[in-house]
Amino acid sequence: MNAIQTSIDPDITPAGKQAPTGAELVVSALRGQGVDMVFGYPGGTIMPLYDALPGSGLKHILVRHEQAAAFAADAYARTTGKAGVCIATSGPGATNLLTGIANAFLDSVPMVAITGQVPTSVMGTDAFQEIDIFGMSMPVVKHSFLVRRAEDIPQIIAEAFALATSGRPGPVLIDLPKDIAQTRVEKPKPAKIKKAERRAPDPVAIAGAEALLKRAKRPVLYLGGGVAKAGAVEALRRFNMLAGIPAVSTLTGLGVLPTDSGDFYGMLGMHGAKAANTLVQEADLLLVCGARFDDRATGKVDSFAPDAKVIHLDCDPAEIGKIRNAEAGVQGDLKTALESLAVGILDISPWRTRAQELRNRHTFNYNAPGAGIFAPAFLEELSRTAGDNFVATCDVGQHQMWVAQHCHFSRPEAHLTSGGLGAMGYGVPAGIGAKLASPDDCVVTVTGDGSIMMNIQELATIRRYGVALKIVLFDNSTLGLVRQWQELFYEGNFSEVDLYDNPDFAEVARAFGVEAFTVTRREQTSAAIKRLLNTRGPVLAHVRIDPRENVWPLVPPGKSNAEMMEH
Amino acid sequence: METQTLHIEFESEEGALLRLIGLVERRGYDVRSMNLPVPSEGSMSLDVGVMARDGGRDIGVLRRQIHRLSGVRRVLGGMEHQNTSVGGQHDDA
Repeated sequence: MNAIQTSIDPDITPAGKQAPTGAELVVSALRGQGVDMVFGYPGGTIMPLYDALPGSGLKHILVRHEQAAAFAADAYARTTGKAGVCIATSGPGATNLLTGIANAFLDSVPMVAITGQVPTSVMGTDAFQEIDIFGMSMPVVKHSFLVRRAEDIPQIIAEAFALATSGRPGPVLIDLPKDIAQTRVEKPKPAKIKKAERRAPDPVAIAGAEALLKRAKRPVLYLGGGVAKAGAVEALRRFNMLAGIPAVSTLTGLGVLPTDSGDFYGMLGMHGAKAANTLVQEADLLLVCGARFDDRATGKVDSFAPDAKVIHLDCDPAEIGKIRNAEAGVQGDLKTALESLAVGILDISPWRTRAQELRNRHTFNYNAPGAGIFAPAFLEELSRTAGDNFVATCDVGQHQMWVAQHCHFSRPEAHLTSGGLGAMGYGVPAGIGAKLASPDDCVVTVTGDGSIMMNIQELATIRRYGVALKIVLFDNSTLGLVRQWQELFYEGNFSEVDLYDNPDFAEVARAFGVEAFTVTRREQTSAAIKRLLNTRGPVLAHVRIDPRENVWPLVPPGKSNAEMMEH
Repeated sequence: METQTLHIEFESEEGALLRLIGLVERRGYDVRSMNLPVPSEGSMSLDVGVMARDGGRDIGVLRRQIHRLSGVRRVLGGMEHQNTSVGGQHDDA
């Protein structure tokens, strides 16, 4: 481990100028970390930090709810690979951030969340807007800091960024009491951090994995979100260009191999592709890269890939063996591990033929009956038309699964979704974060009539900053995925899913100053997509669909992935 | 289910103990006993007796989950009962 200094210099105060406040140290430390954009919402205890923002060089995006700040910072991080930064005040501001922090935790997204706190003199007295966010956030952060001394701020900021971005990324919380933020610091201590080094995998473990791979007759490459987080996408693609192993991915692993790659057979799991699930069930070896055997991917664990040995590559040793035993667990940097695996061309021609047969047998059918708009076909055409710079940010529900099943992704950053937490309300603020991070991309938020209402106020943020985000709102006037489960598994007892009294979403969007239009008939699909893609500024397409439409195929809850229902 | 004892060495910082015990409970274990000696020079250690709430828990996974917490230096003890081997360089075994 090497100790290095950050760019925070304790002697930057010019002669005659006042010593910096704690808040000013936060801002200069953020700049020192290369932060150029933050997402937040001001309030009482965080006011000293907001006082330090003007003229600081930090671009602050004022959202309309703190949860949106966290979601936008999350998407900004997923898009840029840098830590996203969000800011809120104490009490309700901090608690509103929590869902977004939890989202980043479960999807391993680097984030630094800064919350105001009541002054240290009144902490523990139930002061106005006092809440123990340091304690509340513990289960959903990689680490957290409560700042007790202003002179520690440069060190804490440096550590927070190092922790958030190293190893398995995740969110770090910094709770900043108001008096600490106001304290002037004559001699701030320079930050020293231990540079995190990527841990090389054990050569013995690599050799064990190679031996298993060379013996395998029916191997499957099982890709998770960790591949992209490790910067191992190109290494993975190079590895498999030679090895030619049929590949499947989790929800967050989509795009690691391009959707149209010949070796890619789709998403596995509950709403995965039948071919993908069948391949996994028939496999004699799983090469698992940056995935954690999430229950949505595995179905009933006891019957998941029953004949397969497992090679598990992951930077996080705690994931190896957590759900499924691994005959070869390779802990360490995924990119190095993939570059180290020397298996050459595998002799698996019959297995590859079998995989092709499965793909040909289980193609999706886009010829739905009726004259209404068929969401899967709409999405497939949308992503194909938009091309390689298409980026989807999803909300949660049926539309999220349709995006995963039917959109074409050229890279993992093209698919931003709330995977682990499954947080409705993610889509629109994530779209804002992604578009601001990468203005040249064609960023499309795909949402539903349930989800959009959870952060619809962010249309005001879109309007304020002129974010050229495209929104596709599938409106079936129901909580579709819950309705589907009630139909299939609760004997049709449709309890509290009817959203018959939704507002006119196109009118709502226009009231926020966002262009909008409504389509209802299938023959309008291509024109709607064209209008959506050709509009220069923000635009919302309100797409009415049939509430009886379900997501297929489906693995019923508690069942094996071998028991997929196809209709 | 039997009680197993983990010996954890960690940096003395705000919230460290809460973080450790919270993790153990959230990951499916009851805390059965604790011994927290007086800290010395920024370093603390904890001996914690833990018992899994069900049969599907691997103490080796818990050990690694504790070890990945920031500020945790070493985790010793507990008998792994499954056959997963993790190839990498740890100091928690």
